[in-house]
Amino acid sequence: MIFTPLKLLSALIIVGACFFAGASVAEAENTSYRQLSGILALLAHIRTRITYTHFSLEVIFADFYDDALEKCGFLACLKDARGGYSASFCEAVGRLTATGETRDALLAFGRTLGGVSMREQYAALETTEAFLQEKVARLRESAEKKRRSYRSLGALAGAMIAVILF
Amino acid sequence: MPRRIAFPLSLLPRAVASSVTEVRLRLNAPLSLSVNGRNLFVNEHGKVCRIESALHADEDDLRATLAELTAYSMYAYDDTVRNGFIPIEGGARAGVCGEAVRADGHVTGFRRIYSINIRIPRFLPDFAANLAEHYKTHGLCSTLVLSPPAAGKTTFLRSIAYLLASGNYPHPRRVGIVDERCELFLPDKMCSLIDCVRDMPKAAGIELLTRSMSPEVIVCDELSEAEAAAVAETQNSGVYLIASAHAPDYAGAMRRPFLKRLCDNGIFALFVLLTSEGGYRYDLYTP
Repeated sequence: MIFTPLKLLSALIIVGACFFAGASVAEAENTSYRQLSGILALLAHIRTRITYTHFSLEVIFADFYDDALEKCGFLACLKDARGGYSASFCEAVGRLTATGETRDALLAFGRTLGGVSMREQYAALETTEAFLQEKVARLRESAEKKRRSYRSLGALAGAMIAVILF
Repeated sequence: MPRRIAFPLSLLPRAVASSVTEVRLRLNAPLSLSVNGRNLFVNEHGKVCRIESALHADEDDLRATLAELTAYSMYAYDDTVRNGFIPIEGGARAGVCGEAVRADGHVTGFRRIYSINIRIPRFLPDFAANLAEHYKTHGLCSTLVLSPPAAGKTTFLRSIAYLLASGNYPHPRRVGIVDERCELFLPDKMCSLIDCVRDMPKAAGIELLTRSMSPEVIVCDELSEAEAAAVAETQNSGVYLIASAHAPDYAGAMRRPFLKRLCDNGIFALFVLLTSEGGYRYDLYTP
């Protein structure tokens, strides 16, 4: 009898641990979504600033922060603009998990950054934002589904382990 | 400027370097310097040379120079580039020209830049001392500074604004500067009682200063027909105007209809005739 509460507690700990392990895996899958959301926020920040002020990119970037972009080193790379912001943006894209057409779209935008007229810069911002918004929406949906699945699977695995052990 | 251009320029003899007023980069053409009214050429070793041996600027050099001049933020300079210049921190200015892009008959920018002319501002505080002394003796009056291009009009206006605002002619005066092309006012050097509006059309700037800053004198560069009404209005409000215009001499100025109109209406009581022949000098002229 004195072992039953102990067994119950151990079972609960195992289930909890597996649940959180599943949640952690789901979180890692969110990286792409969070990074692209950060890029979207950056583009919106640039667009707002250049619309209402004529601040240089140095001032605009000094005023921006995003957790996901900071963690992967994108912001540090971007702000280190020794060869200009166009080059540093393109280099910073390499720090993201983005691949394929997303990466190509970001590089295409980076090539215009700070080197074209207001009208052309605005057009490049709008095109890239529209593309990323669609990507981010799809990633958000996929990330949410995966989070639910991994958590459920984790809890289930934990329950099965507890049953087998006890 | 890119290192390929900047390094040879850094090797120039001090006597030459201190007299350079313009550095001109032209696409696939010799780089030239304006020194005391002459065009000098420089080779890759920083030596003054003949045009045949001069350093050439290529497309990458112009693109890199433009990027640095605009702080890698070209969009922020749309308005000024459309007017053919880029203001540089500290009062310098880069003129640009090339293949224009037009929309609805107006120039909206340049598709390709062929030439960049970096003008290095000179601050000679006592250059206009004779004029300041004249004001001290005879009182302030609206004055028109006449000269051909590159004869020191901007340097002269800078000097007179500084002397009137901070000097004893006979006491410091409230001076307004309308710096449309961002090259007249040097914030680090010209302090005292100067109020400046930059990157604003002269007519609007003159009106703003007159209404908001109650200047005693307004100084502006390169008058044109567009400012004629604003100039007349300033005169009516009791503010003195010291302005410049392109003309070889008084007779040449009178051949420009809007200047003749302003002078016939008694707007300007005094003229300064600048010349760069035989060194920069000027004469005061009362018609």
